[in-house]
Amino acid sequence: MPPVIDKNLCNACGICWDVCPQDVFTFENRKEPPEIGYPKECWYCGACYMDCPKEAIRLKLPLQLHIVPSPALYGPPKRGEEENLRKAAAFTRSVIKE
Amino acid sequence: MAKIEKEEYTCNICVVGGGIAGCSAAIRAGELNDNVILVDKSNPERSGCAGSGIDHIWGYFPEVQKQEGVSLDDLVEDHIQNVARGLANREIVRYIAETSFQRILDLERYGARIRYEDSTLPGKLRLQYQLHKCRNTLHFDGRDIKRIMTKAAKRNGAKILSRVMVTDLLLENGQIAGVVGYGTRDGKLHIIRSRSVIMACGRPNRLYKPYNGMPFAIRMPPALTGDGKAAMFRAGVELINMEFLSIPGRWSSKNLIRGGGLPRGSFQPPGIGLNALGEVIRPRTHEFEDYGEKWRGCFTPFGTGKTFQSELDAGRGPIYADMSWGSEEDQEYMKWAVSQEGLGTAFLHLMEEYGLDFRKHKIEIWPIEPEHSAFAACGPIVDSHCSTNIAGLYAAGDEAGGTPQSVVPGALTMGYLAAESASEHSKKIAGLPMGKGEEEVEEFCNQILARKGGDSWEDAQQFIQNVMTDYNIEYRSETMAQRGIEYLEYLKNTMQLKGENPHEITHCLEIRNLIECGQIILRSTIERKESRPPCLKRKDYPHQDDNNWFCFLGQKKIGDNIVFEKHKP
Ligand SMILES: Cc1cc2nc3c(=O)[nH]c(=O)nc-3n(C[C@H](O)[C@H](O)[C@H](O)COP(=O)(O)OP(=O)(O)OC[C@H]3O[C@@H](n4cnc5c(N)ncnc54)[C@H](O)[C@@H]3O)c2cc1C
Ligand code: SF4
Ligand code: SF4
Repeated sequence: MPPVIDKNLCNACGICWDVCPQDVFTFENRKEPPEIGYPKECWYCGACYMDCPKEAIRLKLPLQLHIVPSPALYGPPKRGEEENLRKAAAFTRSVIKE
Repeated sequence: MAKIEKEEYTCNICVVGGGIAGCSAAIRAGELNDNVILVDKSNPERSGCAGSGIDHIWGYFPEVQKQEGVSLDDLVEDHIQNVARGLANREIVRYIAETSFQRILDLERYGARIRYEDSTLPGKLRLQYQLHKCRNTLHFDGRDIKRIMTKAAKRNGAKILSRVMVTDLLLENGQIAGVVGYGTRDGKLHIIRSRSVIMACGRPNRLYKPYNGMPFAIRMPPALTGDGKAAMFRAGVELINMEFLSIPGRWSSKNLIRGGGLPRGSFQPPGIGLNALGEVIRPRTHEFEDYGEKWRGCFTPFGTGKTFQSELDAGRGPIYADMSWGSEEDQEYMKWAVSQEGLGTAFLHLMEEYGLDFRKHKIEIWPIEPEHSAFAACGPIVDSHCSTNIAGLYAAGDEAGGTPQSVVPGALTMGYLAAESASEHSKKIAGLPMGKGEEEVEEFCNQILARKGGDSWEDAQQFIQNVMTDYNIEYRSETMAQRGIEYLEYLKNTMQLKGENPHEITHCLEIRNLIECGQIILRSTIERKESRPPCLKRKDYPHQDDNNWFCFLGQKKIGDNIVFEKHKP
């Protein structure tokens, strides 16, 4: 189930159902929390998660979409590299004269 | 037998598709005091490519570009030659470059934040290098841009008709007379009569097998199924570039993250591309000649003599984006940028839920499914007013053909321009046209309503994705495309789709459009007898042939015949 609604927090306002571009939710009984009618059609866009006024929604990934952790390899810049990297990063942040 | 119910509306301008292009059109048409209906398949507040955010917009920023010694002409030329490889609608590209900043200032007036204290650039703008050879891409708070634009459209008087999927155009004596759509929740046929129509339904997605095996977890919005292009084709509109396609669409992590954080795309301060051995394939500094002093451009080779693909081919995959280094400011900036980008807030939430951390983990990236991408720019051929070949019908944004990488600035500016053109046209039409065009879709829906049992739309979709992937990707050729067309024709004539409710019937109508788009694409593939990398590679014509094919290849229906025409860009 991609979006998971915490029924204790949900006030059945229907906003998630209203904004979902994929019509994943069904909201027949307007007094109860929406149901996840079409879980396989979720785009993982997060609109429901962002717009829920009660922070009652979490997204859950099916196994095949899990991102299997892999430790960062690069680590701190090597000697002699640091200044160039710092400049490039600041350049990207539009901070040019430091 | 149950028959579909109908509802009718009238307006001066009907805007179809409430993405950035459609919202921009509705805002401008409202400003011009026109009676506007904006129809969207979902809800414009969160629909389309930009529904959950965009983080950058390119344009010509006079103060900054003048300091760099880059004129508007230089930018236009750079876009046409280097980004679009010569094949682009020059007048529209110029219009986009020239007016994008004006539209960005409109967004600021509507409430979007575009200025930042830490920036040392004029106007406190955060500007990055992206597609072009100058610092002309605004990085900004675009997460809620669609909510902001929808509000502005409503304020200007546009009526919003959500959850209606437009399927066909209404015509009267060859002129536009409105559109017909299916209510994705109410199951009714909505007939909208109007003096002019602006089409802005975006790209045709869901045509190819997704690399992660999940039909809706694709990179592009899965709600977009080429409905606008299919409807226009049926009505006799000429479409171009339909054979162009990016393989792969991009590199992404399970399609859950877009450009955000990755090296390339929207640039992030600490992004580095690694192979599985931890060797740097794409250094953070690769775009700079003298490390931060002079920009070389993002389309330049990485400088390591390697590409992501070459590393996979050499047996040193997978590829990772490593964003672990950098100052706290760099990390903060990156997280901000990711959160503004589409799907990005969801990605940060998922990282937290699954215990991932940019400082500690690198993110694996893969080449994803093929796309009719921004680079392909397929759709109706338009003139410098966004007019199609049907009087009163306009196209804007990703819907329109011939403007590669126009993306958000293209949608913002063309929407605005199309509204001005449509408004002019509507003034010239005295009575409201009473056209036809709803018969075919009415019949299609009534058959489904009458049918007990039948084929599922999921099976039909898989059929289409198998055909398009097997016959139009690796082994593209005339004979393969011909066979692909036969398959889709077979599907069209054989399938007996079932639909239990409006949600499922909507998917059945999408199948109708996916078949239409698939056949158009395969026909154009056969007709363009060359290869044109990176968007077309044929086995039987492996070479680019500029003498014969430096053109937009148009395809249009006249009666029962299909005719092709070459257009010089
Ligand atoms: C996740 C993501 C992030 C991106 N980020 C950026 C970025 O930061 N900067 C950038 O320049 N570009 C970005 N792009 C590309 C850019 O967002 C698009 O090119 C641009 O938004 C296209 O706008 P549009 O209005 O033409 O089409 P879309 O945004 O695709 O909108 C199409 C609209 O039409 C509606 N529709 C579809 N079919 C029908 C129908 N049958 N009837 C009625 N309505 C229909 C849809 O619901 C949708 O609202 C991004 C793309 C994606 C997918
Ligand atoms: S938006 Fe949140 S509170 Fe409202 S119905 Fe959905 S889950 Fe419940
Ligand atoms: S993540 Fe997007 S597609 Fe999925 S349920 Fe939420 S709003 Fe709908």
